[in-house]
Amino acid sequence: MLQESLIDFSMWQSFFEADFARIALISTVLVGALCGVLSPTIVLKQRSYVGDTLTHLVFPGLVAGYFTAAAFDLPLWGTLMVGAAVTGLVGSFLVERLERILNLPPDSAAVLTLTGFFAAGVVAVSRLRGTRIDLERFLFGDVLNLTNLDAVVLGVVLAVVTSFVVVLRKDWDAWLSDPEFARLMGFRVALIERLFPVVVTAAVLTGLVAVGGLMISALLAVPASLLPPKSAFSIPALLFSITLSLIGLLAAFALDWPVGSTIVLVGFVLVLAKAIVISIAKRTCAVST
Amino acid sequence: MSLVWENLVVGHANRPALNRPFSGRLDDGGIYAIIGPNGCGKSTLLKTWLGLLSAKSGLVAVNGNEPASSQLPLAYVPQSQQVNKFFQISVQDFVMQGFGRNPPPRDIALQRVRSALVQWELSADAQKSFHLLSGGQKTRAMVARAILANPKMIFLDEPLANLDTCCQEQLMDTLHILAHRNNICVVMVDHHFEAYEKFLSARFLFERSHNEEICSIRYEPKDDTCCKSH
Repeated sequence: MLQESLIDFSMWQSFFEADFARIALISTVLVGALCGVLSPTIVLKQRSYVGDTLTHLVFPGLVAGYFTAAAFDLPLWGTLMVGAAVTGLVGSFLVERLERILNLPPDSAAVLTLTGFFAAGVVAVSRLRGTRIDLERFLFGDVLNLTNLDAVVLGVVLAVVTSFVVVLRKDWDAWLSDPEFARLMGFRVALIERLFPVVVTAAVLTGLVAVGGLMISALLAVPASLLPPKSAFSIPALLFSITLSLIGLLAAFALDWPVGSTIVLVGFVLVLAKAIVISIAKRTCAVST
Repeated sequence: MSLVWENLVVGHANRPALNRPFSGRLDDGGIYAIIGPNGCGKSTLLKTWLGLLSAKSGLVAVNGNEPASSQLPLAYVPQSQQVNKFFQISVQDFVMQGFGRNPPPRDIALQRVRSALVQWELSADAQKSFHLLSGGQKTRAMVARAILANPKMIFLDEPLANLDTCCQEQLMDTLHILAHRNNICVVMVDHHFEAYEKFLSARFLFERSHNEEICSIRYEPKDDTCCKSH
């Protein structure tokens, strides 16, 4: 059935004549590109948990946004954005403070805060009757219900993030390989250390609306894990990320699976495949020597 | 070029101080060794002089400025585990970082990097990932990176540890030439100076009595040197 539907080009053609499908396609490519640009830095800095952390940190903010919009008759997208930004920033600040004051490893501080915030959001949902929040949509997004505005926002964020990484590429590279040496040699380390969390937060928040938190986390981690980068801006990682998003989207349409989860699954299968190939190759080498 | 410090006490933020206040200056070519037991604060002193860590108390100045104000011709060879082990940067790109933010035109820069790689016997590995190098090759790449832009002061953190005797000699010879022919101040933290005492201009000794947690730093000139301490 998969084969039939993939071969049937006329079906694809008529499918992408629909607005929702075109926007879904464009947004998925944009999210893929955005994550492909940031993936090398996220993976090399061992910050893959950041996507997941932010996704959970903004949850109580989204709940508060739904509630406020309903209670005071305000536009929903505005209250959601403000709510998400506020709890995202407060949470990120808290992670950093806990890390310093309690002298915790960064991943522990992040997990403590994200679970706390998420739990608060869940409790709030259970208490606020009348507000319906779809947890699944939050984790996996809803790429089929995006608007032109969503795609434009994604495009703008992608352009800004990419130019930061490309223009300051040497500074990112020096910072990634050895921050102290980079600082000493006059690379713009202070600027990058300030930019990095802002850029990642912007990317995760915009991507969250489009494709959900789980896919953002996966797409940030997968490209640079599969193709170890030689620079903060890695064209192979970028192209791979876009291709992965597209394949996931098309497979989801063909199989009638949820889009976000399908992309995550395709990425995970590829990571497993690489691990299997490497371990077989190692074993073969060991046998032949 | 002068490095001056007054009543300097070093240590990490939120941790106890590591030494009693000490003052001194380094201004001329020579190799200066920092010697002492593990954990006494040798690397911390090095980083404080470089401006990578703030002093617990006291003052550090390079040419009258704060050392961290970049643009100063200082070079640093950290311990190799400080380099991000997940980053597959090529040896050539790694050494190129020694030019800092404003390298010379690409062809000149490449030419200088290549001749540095030849000098340190790394030319066959130019396109290899830095992390595929052996410990000794990593140290050589870091030294090549540090001296690429003709610094006036070089600070090295345990460079001898990973090198075999032959490479240790090569490094000490190079540092000796830099120190005396180019009048560069070379400051080295290490445990393996036994065979290289003759190269040293002076030593900074971290000393601790049995019942004390904090070290005193003693300056010990070899002979008639240009480095004074008080």
